[in-house]
Amino acid sequence: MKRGLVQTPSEAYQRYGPALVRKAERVLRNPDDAMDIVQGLFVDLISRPPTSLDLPYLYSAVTNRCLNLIRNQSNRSRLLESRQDALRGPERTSLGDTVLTLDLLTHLLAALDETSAEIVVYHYLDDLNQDEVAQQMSMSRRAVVKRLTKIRTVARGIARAASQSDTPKPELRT
Amino acid sequence: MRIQCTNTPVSWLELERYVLGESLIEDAVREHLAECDACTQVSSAIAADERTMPALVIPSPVQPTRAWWKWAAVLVPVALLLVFWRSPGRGGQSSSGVKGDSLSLTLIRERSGVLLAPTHHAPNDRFKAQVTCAPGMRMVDLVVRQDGALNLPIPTSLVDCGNATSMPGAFTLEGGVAEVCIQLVSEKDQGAPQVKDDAVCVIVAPEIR
Repeated sequence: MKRGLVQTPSEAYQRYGPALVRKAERVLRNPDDAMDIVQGLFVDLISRPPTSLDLPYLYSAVTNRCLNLIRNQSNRSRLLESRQDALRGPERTSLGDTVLTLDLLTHLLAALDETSAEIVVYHYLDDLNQDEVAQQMSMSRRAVVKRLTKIRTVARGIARAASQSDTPKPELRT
Repeated sequence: MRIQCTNTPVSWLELERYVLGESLIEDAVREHLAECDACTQVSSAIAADERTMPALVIPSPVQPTRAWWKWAAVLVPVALLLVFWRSPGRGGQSSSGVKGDSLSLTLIRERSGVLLAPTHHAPNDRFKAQVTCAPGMRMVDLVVRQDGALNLPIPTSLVDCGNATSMPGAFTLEGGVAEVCIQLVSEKDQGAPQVKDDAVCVIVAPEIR
């Protein structure tokens, strides 16, 4: 099937569902929650079909749903307790000396606005480069670079605070 | 686990599209993979993951628990008043209530003589279609789009259009989420099943037991 031939949400569910579950698993580190996120998205899309059903659009929708799930305090605790870090997959984009664990991600989300939180997921978990992040978020590359600089600063601050106290404890690369 | 890409990593999104055959930069991705073990590892992991999606569970709509009789007590007298007030001047004019060229579809779902909400389907369910369309004889197609395939479970019918006119024949649904569509067709539309732009569709999801 070539690009653009997915016409209905149910077709998109079958075709793109596995890719979206993999993506949600990278963020949430929990297969059940990842599947729930994707199924919930398509239930909504079937009742309110969007104009676009391509993979970048669906990636964006899954990103937002994952971030909303993590922002909820009770979900956050549950996810941290049940996390399966292997679901994150190989790390190819580095956040300096710090590993983007689920713990650090939850602290970053608390410290960043929604746009920067999305950029964290796209750049550090989905490995989109700066141009691709800019395109995905309809922003200028310059704005993305500026936010990435701030994200690294905030991440370093969280890591430093973690190293000086017992909690929070983002894992640090030695 | 951190792995080192030889250059800028190809994103998961682009690799997913590449594996699906939808990448717009297929050649560039292929060239990169030829020299980068890290991205090849990710690409191979995607290709090797052969999971299939489970049937989508669509919750039945919750019926509102309004005190309907309160509304009925107000609306029925108003409706009767309107009917008797308008009827003398309208003589033999059609009372179909169909406006313009509008087309609508009502599905009837029946299981062992019991009518059920047509939002879901199960193996023993029979479906009938009722069509509302502007008065006149019209050719109507009922097309089911399911799992990427289109089919005509009942033959194209010549329907004496009006309010909730039943199409001849009944059909069953199996498999995943089905999109049941009706559309007005003409002689030139005969051939392979298709869903036209002006088709009217409803979604019927598999029932989870």
